[in-house]
Amino acid sequence: MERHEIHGRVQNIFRDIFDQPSLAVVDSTSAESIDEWDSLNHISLVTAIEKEFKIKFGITELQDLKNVGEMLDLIKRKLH
Amino acid sequence: MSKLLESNSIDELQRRHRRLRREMRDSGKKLTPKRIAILGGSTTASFVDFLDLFLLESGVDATFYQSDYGLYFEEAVYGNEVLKTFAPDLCFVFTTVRNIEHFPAMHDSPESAEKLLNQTVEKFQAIWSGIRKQFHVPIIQNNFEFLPHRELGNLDAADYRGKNHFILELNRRLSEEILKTSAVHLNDLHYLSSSLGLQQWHDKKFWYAYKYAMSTHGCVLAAQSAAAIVRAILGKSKKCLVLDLDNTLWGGVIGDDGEDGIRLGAGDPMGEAHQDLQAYASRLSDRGIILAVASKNEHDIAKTGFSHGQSKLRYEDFGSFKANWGPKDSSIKDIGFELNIGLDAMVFIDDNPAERLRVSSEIPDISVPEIPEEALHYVDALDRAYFFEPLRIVPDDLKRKQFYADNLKRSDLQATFANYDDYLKSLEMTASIKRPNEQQLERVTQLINKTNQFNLTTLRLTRSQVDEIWANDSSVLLAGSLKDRFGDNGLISVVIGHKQGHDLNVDLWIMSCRVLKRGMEVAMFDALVAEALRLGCNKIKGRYLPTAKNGLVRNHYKDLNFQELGNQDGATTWHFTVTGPQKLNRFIGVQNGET
Repeated sequence: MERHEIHGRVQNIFRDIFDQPSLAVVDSTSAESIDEWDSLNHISLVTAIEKEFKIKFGITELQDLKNVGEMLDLIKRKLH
Repeated sequence: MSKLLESNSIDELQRRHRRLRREMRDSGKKLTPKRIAILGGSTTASFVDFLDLFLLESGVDATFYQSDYGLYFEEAVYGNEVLKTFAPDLCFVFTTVRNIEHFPAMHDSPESAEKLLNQTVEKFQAIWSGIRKQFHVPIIQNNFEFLPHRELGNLDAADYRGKNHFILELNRRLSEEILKTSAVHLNDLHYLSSSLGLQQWHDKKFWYAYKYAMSTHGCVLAAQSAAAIVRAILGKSKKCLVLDLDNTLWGGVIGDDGEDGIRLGAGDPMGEAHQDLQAYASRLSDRGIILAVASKNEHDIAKTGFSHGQSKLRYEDFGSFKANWGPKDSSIKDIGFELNIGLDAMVFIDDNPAERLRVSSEIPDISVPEIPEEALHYVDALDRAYFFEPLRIVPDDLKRKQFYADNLKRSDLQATFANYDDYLKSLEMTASIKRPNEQQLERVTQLINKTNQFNLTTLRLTRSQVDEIWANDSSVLLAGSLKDRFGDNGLISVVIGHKQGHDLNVDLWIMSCRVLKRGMEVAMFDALVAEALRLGCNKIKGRYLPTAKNGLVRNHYKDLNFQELGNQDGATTWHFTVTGPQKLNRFIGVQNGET
């Protein structure tokens, strides 16, 4: 899957989870840039991403994710 | 219900709950606000999101308090300023198997394992009484799911040192104590986790990384179940199951196939599935859910289906039986009118999607679950929606079915009298009107929360509030039970009031519509006057607060010769001057005081 397609699908997940239909995320978007991106919503995000791409994140991988860009890279790696 | 679960997968709910919740809050639908405290032993945020969703679907706009992580015991027993200020309407002790601190050790004796069991049960009892001391509110308590692992393998369930054995014993003991403790209700995590499967229930990552005691799917199931209990506490459980006949209660078409040709019972897989639906409905009716039929059929032919040797239901089991060629929504409205039951208290089961669509669009208040095409899944669809969730089974529930059967005899009798008074006399009615005994308070609470039509103020009270009123001697709490020559109608009327100066203010006056037009309200009035005299009051003050459903009693106080004091947008206030004991009731032999 191409990175831009992953990006589109991840962006839709962000829009759903935060209930912001026009939210735009870029590689540098991080927990600091979205107010409601707290630890609880982080769990929701990760769970939704796992379901969307039918992948599983390791317990340590999750703690290291700093921004959307790293998230997309990780998903791309998992899909290979 | 849950329409939410019919139209959204678990993944979609997980992803879209915020939007769904916002849309339901903005829909303009009238919602009842409730304050719910979750005293959790693990992370509860996701559970609360889903509970909010299911409660919104049930017409409840909840505000939540969540205890600090894992501090369920401390906050229940020692209190907490924030919780106190929050002032919950309901407390939920959300504990799981992760909160069982001690299991029997391998070197423990059977006696010390038993002691440990007692201590664990006592801890939860301490939690309930701690909550009860702070707030007079209902409590929901989770029981315990199995752990994902068994150190003793199969022996784990049999040996007293096994964790599974301990969990089984603990759940059994907890159930006993819950039923013995007023206003505490069980949320059966043990069943929910089994039903989903422990492999799907326990999510290791969710536990180790986030301290969630269950998976997202588990949270959804626990929330759906908890929402059903909240609905039951609020008197929103359904009262009546309306069933189609052909290809629903039996396979085939009775008009074409005849009594011998329909598929019902042993020897035919579909026939067995239809029979199981009948058996399920029969047990519902035995505990007080009223059954009715809405079918497109010739009445006399339709009823022959219940003479089938394998039929679990009899024609007499139905409180109302509408088999005709008119539209089913008209039949269902007739059923509601005949049984005096609101359309929002009904569930309609029909195998035909076109009929379901027609009924749900003509009668928006009725619940019409989507059922799978094959009859073998009908019971699942009915069961998983929690329509008829009871809090307790009270003696009146067990009498209800007989009551509706007796009522048919009553209408036959009435038809033989030209004069209604003569009919009332012939019923040979006797009533007991008194302060209820403790065993009756559950039924009193049930009636307070279920009655919509003969209800002057639509004041709803929880069991704990009823307990408080009951314990206060200067309050008025009258419960009326009525018998007649056909049988016992049970406890069917309640009046609650309080003294203010020399006035007796009536806060609540309700009566089950099963006994309308029998003169019971007049007998209750006589008893109310006696209560006014007991408390030294010379005036009785009453109020009528109109709702969409209680137009029936608009003139209640007028009919009892009260004087109108005021009228504000249809809400009226009334008073009655008490001069001495009275006996206006002419048809009912009344016994007051203790029986």
